[in-house]
Amino acid sequence: MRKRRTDQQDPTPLLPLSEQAFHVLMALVDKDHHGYGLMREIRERTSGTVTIGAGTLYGCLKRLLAAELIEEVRDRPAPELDDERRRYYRLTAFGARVAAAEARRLEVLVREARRKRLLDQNPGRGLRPRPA
Amino acid sequence: MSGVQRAATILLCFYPKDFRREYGAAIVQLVCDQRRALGDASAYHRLSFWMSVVLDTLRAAFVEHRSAIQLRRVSTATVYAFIGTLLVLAAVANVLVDVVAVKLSMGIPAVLLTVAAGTSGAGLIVRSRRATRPK
Repeated sequence: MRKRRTDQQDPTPLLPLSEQAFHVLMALVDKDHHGYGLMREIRERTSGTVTIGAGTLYGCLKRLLAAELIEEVRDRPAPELDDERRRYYRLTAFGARVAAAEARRLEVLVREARRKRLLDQNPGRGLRPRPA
Repeated sequence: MSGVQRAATILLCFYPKDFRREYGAAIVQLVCDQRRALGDASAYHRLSFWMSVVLDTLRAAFVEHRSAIQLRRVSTATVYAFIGTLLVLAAVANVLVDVVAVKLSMGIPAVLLTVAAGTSGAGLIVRSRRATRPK
């Protein structure tokens, strides 16, 4: 029988997450979504710089479901308000911890980039000249 | 069935069967939603929409086929391990029966069969371990 993830389980073996997986988890932090809702939320949040196609999105959802980072929601809107082919997804407690761990990992990287002044107006301004 | 639905359903044939069965209907629905949101777009926008759908289908189908092949490799390894263990157990049982019965009357064909079963079983177990070892 498959062992369910517990609150004590360490999220670090699952890091780093793919960019798409992280976007999906972030979109599910606030509310449950169906596939098209996820796609729209990601596009709007990133001002259209990140777009995920239907096949890629469901492949990503399949892997997140297998890792128990998300789950399929059984309670759905009334059939007259929604298409029954739509599937809704929700972030699990373990998924939230993995997303938080990934955010912390990225924060450390950004802090380091800032310390190296990569985020300045003119990155590389203070570089020492390389020997010829 | 609308034209968009029909086209999206045809594209599903690129995916592995299991993935298609599980997510096919949801993918078709999603492509229909995307096309509806596009509204009365120009021919250029409609063409670029379908180009992106086709490209995404090909890319995602490749990823899914690769992952299905990797899964199959593991299950082949499990079969190897199972048959190998059976052969080794049969060889050990054959020897034990002869020792317990204190007959030690295994003929040459029986001895050869026992050795063959034992070695091929051990070989299959080693092979299954190699197949499951992470690369």
